[in-house]
Amino acid sequence: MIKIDVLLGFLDSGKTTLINSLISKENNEKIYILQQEDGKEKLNYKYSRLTPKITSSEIEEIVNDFSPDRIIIELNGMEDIDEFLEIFHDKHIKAMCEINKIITTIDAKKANNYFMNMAQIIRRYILNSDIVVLTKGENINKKDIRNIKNNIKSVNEIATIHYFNNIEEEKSKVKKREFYSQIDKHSNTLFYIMLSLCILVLIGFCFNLGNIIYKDKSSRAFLYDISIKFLGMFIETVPFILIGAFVSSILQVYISDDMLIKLIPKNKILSSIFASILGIVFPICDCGTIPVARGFIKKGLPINVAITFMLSAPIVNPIAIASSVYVFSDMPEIIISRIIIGVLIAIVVGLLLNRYSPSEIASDYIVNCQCNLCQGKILKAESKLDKIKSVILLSGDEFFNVSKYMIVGVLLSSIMQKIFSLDTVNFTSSSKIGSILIMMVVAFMLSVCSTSDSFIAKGFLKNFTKVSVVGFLVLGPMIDIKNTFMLIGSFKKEFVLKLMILTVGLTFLSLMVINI
Amino acid sequence: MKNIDKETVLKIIVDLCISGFLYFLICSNKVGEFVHPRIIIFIKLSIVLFIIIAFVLLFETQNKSYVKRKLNGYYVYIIPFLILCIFINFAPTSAYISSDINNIREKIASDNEEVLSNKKKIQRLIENDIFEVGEENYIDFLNLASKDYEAISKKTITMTGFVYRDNSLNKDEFALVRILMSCCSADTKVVGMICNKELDKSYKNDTWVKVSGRLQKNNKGEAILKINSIKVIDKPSNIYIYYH
Repeated sequence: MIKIDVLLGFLDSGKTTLINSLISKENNEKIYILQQEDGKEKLNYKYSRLTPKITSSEIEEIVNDFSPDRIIIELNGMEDIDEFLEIFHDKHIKAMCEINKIITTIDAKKANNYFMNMAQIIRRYILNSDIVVLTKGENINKKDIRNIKNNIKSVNEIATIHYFNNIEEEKSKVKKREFYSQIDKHSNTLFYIMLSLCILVLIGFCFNLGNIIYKDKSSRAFLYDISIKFLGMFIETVPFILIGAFVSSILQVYISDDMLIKLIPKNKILSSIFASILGIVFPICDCGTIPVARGFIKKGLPINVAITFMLSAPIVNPIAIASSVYVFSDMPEIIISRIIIGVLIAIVVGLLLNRYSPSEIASDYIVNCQCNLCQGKILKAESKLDKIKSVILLSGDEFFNVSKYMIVGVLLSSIMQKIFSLDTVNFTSSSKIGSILIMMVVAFMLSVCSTSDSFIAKGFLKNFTKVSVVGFLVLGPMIDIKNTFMLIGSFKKEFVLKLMILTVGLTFLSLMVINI
Repeated sequence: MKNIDKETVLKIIVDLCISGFLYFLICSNKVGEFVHPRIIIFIKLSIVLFIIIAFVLLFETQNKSYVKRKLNGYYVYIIPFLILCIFINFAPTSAYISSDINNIREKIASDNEEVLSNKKKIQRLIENDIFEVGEENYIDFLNLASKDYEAISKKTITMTGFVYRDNSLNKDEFALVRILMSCCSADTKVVGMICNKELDKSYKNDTWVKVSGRLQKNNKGEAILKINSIKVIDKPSNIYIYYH
C-alpha cells in the first residue's frame, strides 16, 4: 500500500520547506512529490512534478510509472480539501494507496490573524489534519503560542501540534522521526470497542465474571460494597444530570437575552440573593446544578449568579430542608444555621469570584465552543419544531459533557466511602477546631447527596460538636469529590482550586465565629 | 462508514445502553435495591428522554462535524456496565451490611438511634393485640420501642427480617436485621431488633425469617424481642425499608 501525505496551508506558510525536511530524512523509502503550485522556496528533487489540478488518473500514472512507497502531495492554499479527498474514495485508488497523514502548516506569526479573518478556511484545514505544524516561530512569546495551540485544539483535539522555532529545529526534529511517530488510531479502536460493548455484557452474564475471579471472600465483600455504592450513586445521579441538562438547554433556546436582563436584578448583591434562592424553584440535587450553572455561563449571565446558584441550590433544595427538619426537629438551630451559613457563603464566594471574565474561568467548550451545536443554527432556531430539536440535541451534548466526569467522581467517592466507611468514623477530637476540620474532611470525602446527609450527620452528633456537624452539612453539598470532578470538566483548574479554597476557608471561618 | 460522524454514533450507543440499563433495572424490580422509590419517576422520565435524544441524534449522523474531539472520554461509560456485570445476580443480602461490621449489636443500636424521630410524643394508636411490623411502619415501631415501650410491651409483635449473628451477641440471641435506605444504596443503615432465642445452626446468616414475640427489657435495659415462633420465609423481592 502506498502512503499518501497531504500538505495543506496558506501561501508562504512553509510547506515546501517542510517537504525538503521530510525528504532529507535518511531512509530507504522511495518518495514522490506532487506539487500544485510553485512557491518562493524551490524544491530540489528529482521525483517531483507540478500540476495545476490533481486527479485520480494523475495519481494512477505516478503509481504505475514510479511505484513509490510514499507520495507527498502539496495542495494549493485555495483548493477545497473535501473535494480533493473525494479522489481517494474511488475504488481503484483505494486499492493502491491510502491517506497516511494530512498535515497543515501555519505561519505562527500570522496564525492569530488567520483565526480572525479567515476562520472558515483555517478551520477546514485544521479539522481535516492529523498534524499541525507551526512554522517560523522565532520571537513569539509563549503565551501567544499557547493561545494558538488552544485555538487549534478547540477545533481538533486529536491532531498533534508541532512547533518549530526555525528551519534548523524543524530539520532536526523531522529527522528524529518524531514527526510521524504519533500515529493516532485511538478513535478507530474505541469505536469498535464501544460497538462490542454489548457482546462484553453478554459474556459477563455467561461467565458470571465476578464469581470466578473473586473466589476470595473478603475481597469479594469489599467489591460488593464498592459496587453497591457506585451503582446506587450512579443510578441516582444520571436522571438529575439529564434533567439539569434539559433545564440548561431550555434556558439556552427559549429564553431570550432581553428576557434575562429583565428577570435578573442589575445590582450585584441583589442578583446574588436572587440566585441563592433560585434553588427553591429549580429543585435539583447537587449533581444537577452543574449543568444548569454551565448553562448560565454559556448564556452570558453574570458569574456571581452562576456560582451562587451552583453552591446554594443543594442546600435550599426543598427535599433537603424537609429531611433535615425530620432529623433535627428538636435542634432547629442546626437547620437554621445550615441554611443561613450555606446561603451566605454562596453569595460571598459568588461576589468574590465575580471579577473574572467567563473565558478566564470556564473551559473553552463553554465559552468558546466551536462545535456544530454552538456554531450552527441550533441556538437561533426559529420554528417550533427546530427549537424542540435544538433543546434535545443540546441537552444530549450537555449530558455527555458532564456525565463523563461524574462517573469518575462517583467511582472515586464510592471507594472513598468504603475506606472512610460510615461506620468506622469513630475517631473523635477533643479540640473544637480539630472536630470542625475532621467533619469538613469527612464531608468532602463521603460525597453524600444533600437530601440524605442529615441522616448521616445525626450519627456524628455523638462524637462531634454541633458546630462541626453544621460544618459537615454546609460543606458537603457545596464541595465534595464527586462534584469536584464535574467542576474540573467544566471549569479551568485554577478556578476550581480558587473556588474550593474560598468555600472551604469561608466555611471554616464562619464556623469558628459561631464556635466562639 | 466514511461520512458517518463517529462521535454521534458513540453517543447513540451510550444513550441506548444507559436507557436499556435503567429499563432493565425497572423491569426486573432491581431498581429498588439501588435507589429510593421516589427517584423511580425521574428514572422513568430519563429513559424516555434518552430514547428521544438517541432518536434525534440518529438524523444527525450524516452531518459533518465542525470539530474533531478526542473520543477517549467515552471509555468511562464502560465502568458502570462492568460493575453491573460483576455485581448482578449474585450478591447476598448481607452484602448490604458493610463488610467490615463486626459488632452487630452496637451497629444496630446506633443506627436505630439515628433513624428515630426527635418528636417527643408518638401519635400512632395501636388498637389490635397483634402489632404487625411491615415496611411502612417499621420506623414507627422502632420509635415506639424506644420511647413508648409501655404502650407496646403487652402486644404480640410480628416482624420479618434476616438473621445475622456474630460474636457480639450471646448464644441465645440473634439479630433480626433490615436495611434502611434514605436516598440511594450509598447511604444505607442497618436497623433491627436483637431477638432472644437460641437458634440451631440451620439458620445461617442471610436466612429470611418471620418471627412473632413480645418485647422485653434485658438486664442492660435495652428492648429486645422474646421470640415465640419463628418461620423461614423466602427472600422478599424488596429487602429495603425506605424513609418516606
